[in-house]
Amino acid sequence: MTSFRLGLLLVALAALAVASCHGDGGCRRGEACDCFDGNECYLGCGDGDGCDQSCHNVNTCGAVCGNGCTHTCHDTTTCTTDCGNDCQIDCHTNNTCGAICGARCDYACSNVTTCGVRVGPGSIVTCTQVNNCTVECHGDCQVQCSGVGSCNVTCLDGTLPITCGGDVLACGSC
Amino acid sequence: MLAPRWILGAALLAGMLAIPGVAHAQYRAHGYSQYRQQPAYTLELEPHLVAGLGNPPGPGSGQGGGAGVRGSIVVSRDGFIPTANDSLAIGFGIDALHYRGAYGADYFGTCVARTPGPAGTLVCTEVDTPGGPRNYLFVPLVLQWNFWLTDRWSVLVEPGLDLYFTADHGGVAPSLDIGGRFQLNNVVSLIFRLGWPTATVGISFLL
Repeated sequence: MTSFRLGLLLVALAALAVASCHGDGGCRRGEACDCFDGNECYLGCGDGDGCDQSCHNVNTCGAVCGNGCTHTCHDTTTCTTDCGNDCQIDCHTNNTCGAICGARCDYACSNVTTCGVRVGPGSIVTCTQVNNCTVECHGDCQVQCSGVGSCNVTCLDGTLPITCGGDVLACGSC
Repeated sequence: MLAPRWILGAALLAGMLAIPGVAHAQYRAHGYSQYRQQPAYTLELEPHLVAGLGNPPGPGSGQGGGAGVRGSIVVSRDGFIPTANDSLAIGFGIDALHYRGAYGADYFGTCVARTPGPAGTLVCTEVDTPGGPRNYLFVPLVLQWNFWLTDRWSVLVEPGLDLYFTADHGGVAPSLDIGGRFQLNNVVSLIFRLGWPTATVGISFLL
């Protein structure tokens, strides 16, 4: 009986070792990953979802993340974002901003020469002080263009965007 | 960091492969009968959970977990020590692990895939991050040295090699584990081993 208890203890310790495996360090869910200064910054998300990514003062920046991520990008030449659903992205004071994101994407683009964004249903895109704001929407979306030279909204279901007033264009309903 | 492990592993493996002939001869010369606590089996089949408790060989880092299976074929019921109740087996198997990575200063990577976006943009859609998460496949080949302590308990030492495969990388690494076995009956045992690159806990079937 004693040896059996000892066996159980050893198995439990081994199971604990298995269960306790985890990574350590920075780019994790809810923790800020800040990349700046240099030529290129490409950020992944170790947990897949929920990363808080930031990139600034570099030539080229790219962030890739799953769902529920945030990405702030400024003072770059080119900044792109690939994100899943429920992402919040702020791209400002750059030459070019590009993004592909999923449903319920909240994308803000300001003080940028070219802004090209493809978003999923339920998304909101805001372009402010942008020369060329081009948005492609899968499903319903709203695009607000303020101080924009060319505001191009394409509804990928083939319908035409509708004007909602207040510089807002929409695919689907306003 | 790797060099000492290579040297240790190679030395252990070379030593253990060289000794059996001598040990076996001594065992026979003394005429001991030490099989009384060894279960009669030729193949040990072992499904198990696997943990990588330290950085794996190759480009991965951090800790990982997964599952695998091991088979060990008994090659001698006499081990290296004439006065001990020990035996030898050759173990082989396959283990699949996911390493979550160790980030810190290494979470900036390189863009390895891009997709055209609106307005002529080119969006990075895949980042290969050093120290990031990786999947590994290990193929261990080990010498299993068993010590049959009681009718229920045995311990084992396993020096050997691990072939490893991960995305666009592969190689061979030395491995060393120590472990134990608790026999529930003549066929089924609980078995665990601790070491590098992997540790395991599982069920052993002595067939």
